[in-house]
Amino acid sequence: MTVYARTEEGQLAAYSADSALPRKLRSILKVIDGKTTIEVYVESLRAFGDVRGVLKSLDMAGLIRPMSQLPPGAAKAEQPEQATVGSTSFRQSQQQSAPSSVMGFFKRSGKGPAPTDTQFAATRQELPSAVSRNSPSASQEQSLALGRAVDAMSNFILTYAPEHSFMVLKELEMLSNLEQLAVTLGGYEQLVKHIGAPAQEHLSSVKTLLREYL
Amino acid sequence: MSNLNDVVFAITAKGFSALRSDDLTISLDLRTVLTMVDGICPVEQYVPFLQVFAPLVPKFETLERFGLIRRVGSVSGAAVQMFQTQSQSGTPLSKMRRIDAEHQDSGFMPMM
Repeated sequence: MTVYARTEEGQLAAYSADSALPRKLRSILKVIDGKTTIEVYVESLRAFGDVRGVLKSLDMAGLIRPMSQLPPGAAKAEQPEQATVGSTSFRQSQQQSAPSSVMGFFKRSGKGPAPTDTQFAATRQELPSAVSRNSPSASQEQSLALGRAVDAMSNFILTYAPEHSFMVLKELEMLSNLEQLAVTLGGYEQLVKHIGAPAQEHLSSVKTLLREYL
Repeated sequence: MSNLNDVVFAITAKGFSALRSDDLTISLDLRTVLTMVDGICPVEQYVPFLQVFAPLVPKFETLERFGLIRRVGSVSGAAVQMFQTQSQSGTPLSKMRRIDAEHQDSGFMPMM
């Protein structure tokens, strides 16, 4: 299983403001973390076509290399600002299980992982804990709801903010339950709210879906 | 016949629709190139970074013919030439100067 890491050249191309690397390729280059296998990228980013070919192109350009071909210590880690996340237990657990790029979304989106929509947050707190979230049928329903929400968000980001789509789709793929989705929604909202009315309508539908299940 | 190296393309509504679609009406290579279109880079700027998908110009032509991308403008010939010179002289890719529409030296002219 191939694991790519950025080279010195790749590090410069990814983070230099004057880099000629087209922005979507730059986004792809930034998610190369020296840990995630190529198979994971190919599987989770099918919407982007030939991900293997794109990575091969970055390799041919000398911007990434398979870890096996890099001398020890040569792999470039995420920029400190991206690798640094807050202290909640959820994010700590994500650090242990997901590529570091997942945290980039929370960081970039500005206000941390908590939903910024206070009404939505309050609704979550007010819901009776007696809801049988642990029953098999409830779990199945939640899983279906998560799939619906992720599909809606994927379609929206591809349509209205394709420049962010690579990163967002990758992070959506990492979500395993609705609670994680609720935590990331604040950051997602920050990312898309400038789009205006379509974003408001979209966010409203996602929140409605979450309210039904959380 | 003009080449497309100086042309800046953007994805059309039809293009976004094709990207969302599961039925592959376009080849994997074309789809991949389509996802890379950002509305600011001229075709030439993709060339050194997408070598697996070379030649790129015919792919952009096909995408345009299918109505999946549209021209939003072009950068100056001098900017393209400068970029090609950098590329041919072996300038490291990380140090090549951008010629995209947002760069002041690109001579970008939006399509009226």
